[in-house]
Amino acid sequence: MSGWRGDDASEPVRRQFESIDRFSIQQSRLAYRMARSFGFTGVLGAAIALLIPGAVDGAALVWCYLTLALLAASHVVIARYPHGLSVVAVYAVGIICLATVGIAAGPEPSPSASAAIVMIAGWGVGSIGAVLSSTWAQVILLVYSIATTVTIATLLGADIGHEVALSAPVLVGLGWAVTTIFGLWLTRANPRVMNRISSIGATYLIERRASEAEAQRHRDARLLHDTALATLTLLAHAGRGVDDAAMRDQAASDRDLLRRLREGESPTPRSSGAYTLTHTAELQLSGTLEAVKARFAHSGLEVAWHGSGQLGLEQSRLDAFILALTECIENVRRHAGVDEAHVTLSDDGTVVRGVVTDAGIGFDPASIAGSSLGFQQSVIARTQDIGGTVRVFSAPGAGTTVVLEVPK
Amino acid sequence: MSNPTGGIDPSLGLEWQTDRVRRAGLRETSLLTLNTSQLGVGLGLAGGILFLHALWRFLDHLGEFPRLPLNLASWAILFVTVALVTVALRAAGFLFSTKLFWAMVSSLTAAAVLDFAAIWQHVGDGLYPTSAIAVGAVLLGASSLRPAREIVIASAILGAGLTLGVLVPGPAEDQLGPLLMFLVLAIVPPVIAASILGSYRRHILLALDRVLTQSAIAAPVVLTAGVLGSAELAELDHEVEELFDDVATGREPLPLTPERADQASSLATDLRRHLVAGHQNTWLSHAVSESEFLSDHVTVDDAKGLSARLDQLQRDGLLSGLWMLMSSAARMPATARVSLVERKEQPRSDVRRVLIAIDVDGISRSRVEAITWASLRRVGRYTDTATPLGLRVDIETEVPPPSEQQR
Repeated sequence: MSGWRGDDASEPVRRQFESIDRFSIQQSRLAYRMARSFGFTGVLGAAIALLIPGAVDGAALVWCYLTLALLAASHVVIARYPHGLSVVAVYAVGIICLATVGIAAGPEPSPSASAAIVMIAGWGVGSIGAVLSSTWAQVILLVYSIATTVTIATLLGADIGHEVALSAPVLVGLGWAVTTIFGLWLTRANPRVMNRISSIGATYLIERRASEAEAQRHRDARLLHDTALATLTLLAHAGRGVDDAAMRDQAASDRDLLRRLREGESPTPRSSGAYTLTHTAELQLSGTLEAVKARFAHSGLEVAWHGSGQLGLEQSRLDAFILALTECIENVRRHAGVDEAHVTLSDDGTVVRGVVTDAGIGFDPASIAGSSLGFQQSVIARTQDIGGTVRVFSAPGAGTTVVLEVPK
Repeated sequence: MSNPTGGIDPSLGLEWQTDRVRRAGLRETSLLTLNTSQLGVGLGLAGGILFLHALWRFLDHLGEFPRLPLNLASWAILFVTVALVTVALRAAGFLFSTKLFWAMVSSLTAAAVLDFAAIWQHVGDGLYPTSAIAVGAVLLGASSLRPAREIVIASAILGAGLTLGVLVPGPAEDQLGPLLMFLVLAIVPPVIAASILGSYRRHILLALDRVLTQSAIAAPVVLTAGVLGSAELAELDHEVEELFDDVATGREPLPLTPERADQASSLATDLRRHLVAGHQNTWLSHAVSESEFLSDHVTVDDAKGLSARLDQLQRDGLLSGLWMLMSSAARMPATARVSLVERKEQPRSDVRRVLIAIDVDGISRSRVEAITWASLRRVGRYTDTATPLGLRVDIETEVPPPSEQQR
């Protein structure tokens, strides 16, 4: 496997924390937006309640609305500039608003005016409860704010009924309780969730490296895959043309190699079943093969050599063999309608074998036998001249495999 | 009601992450507890307080209700509903099914209707709805277990019902203010909770996606198969092994059936594709294709694999910048195109200048967070220009020439 760049594992993890910080900021903005939502609700509720006849007089209503508008504006500010100063601004404007509405409603406010005062104190100002629970300083400010608004609402006589459950302190406290709990929930949940996410990220990173290393190991097993592919190709033609017992032996041998790979070994087989395995690079004739490959690349056909063994043929027969192979590839280029051909070479000590495979349109070998003079002469005759045989496996739509075998 | 001990939110959309996290060797439960352990607690508590307040008001006036049996029936329905739903949720592992939710909503509606019937035209006597307001508290408690949309719909139904119930009997002007306040107390908390939860869930998913995608930048310099490709190759090898096993042991008759032969042929094709073409993608393509957030909206044009030559700091900057550009347009369908080309004239021989162009359609520069530019600066010198459809960022950066590439 290739080395990892920046092998220091802490690096990516550290950056994960950076990106998590950004999400923490977003979450805290969310709390401020929540404060704005509660604040708007309180202001809007109070505005409607003050409109109800009997709440406040006409001229005083204008002053009330002015301060309510100011309070709404401070809530816009708090969501836009999530900062302690904005919180203080909301509180200050809220107290002014409470005082104005209280004066306008008179010493004994009507139930509607009381409802307006309670809504301003509980949510208009109490909305800041949503953002006042992360530090001790904030909690002190929170307690102070609750105490002052509850006191003001009580002094203004904003009780809706005579019973305790409808008294100003209880209702205002209820408003503060809801916003504060919402805020607490958001701030407490955040770090834990983010910790878990980052631990998932760290685990995933490790897993990713392992799985890519594993893939690399699979990919490095080139020779193994070459024989597996050759066997698969034979099986793709239902295994016809090959002796049954030999086919099964080959499959068993390849299966064992794949199993060893799966179980964590990196098998480097010298042979599998009937195939002797060697890297293409070790082939004496690799230069020749590269030349053939380059030639077809010019005409738009990609030739992939799957190397297997040095071909133990004397030069003249080898040349004929390669020529026959090249003609097969030429046929792929002309007829198959694909841009890729695979050639697998092997030498098992008694037979030199070349398999040319494509995934093209295919044809029915029976219909073409004898009639295709070009193939007859260029491939079959040439191979037979050096004592070899040619077998063609194909069916319309199923690609074509040509197997050339030359005994040594 | 939601329960502090846990609960699975079917709406959270974590399903698509589950696969990746499972691959990361984590149990699904640990993913699900991401949202469950914390989400419900606060909301349930707030709902509980509102519920208790409504109950308190009811008990205060117990002797004054003109049609007490109706009030009692209403509260009884409420308690039974909450109890049954809690038991059902526990049994179902805190999966709140759609059926159960709407059954709960209709039962709550019945309780509210009974409550209004009980005080019909008696509001003037200082009697206000009690259990009808507590219905809102129950909805609030359930809000972490259902999609935001449904909570909003249920709250809207409750709100419309309460408004009608309040206004139709024609209450005295004096009572309108308090009634309005109760209405707000019943409707608003669930709606705010639902909307905040929606954003909260989106943030969690984005954070998770970001963290998982981030791991791609640690890929080696050589082209890799990515996590998805790696798993596929291993699976492919296993399938081939099984086919060979069937043939070797004689379970499969020779010659093979056409189906099995077809399977062998397609396995061979896939295997070749993986072995030959598996190296085509750089970390950037993997990061983009693995990210649910980016994959549908970002195309990478990097034919020469130049992104693989960026060092890790540059990679991080590029991915973060791209990610934040896209997330600043999260509400709009933004699309981005990233292309990397080598500059034609290379003033120095020891480094290669690479031009990275990021075209983003559908965002405006003012929406881009400042931190985005800090990330992009880590990649190299950048200039940004407004385009008719959005924004274009050009980055010029330096990478080592291929020969010096560490492998």
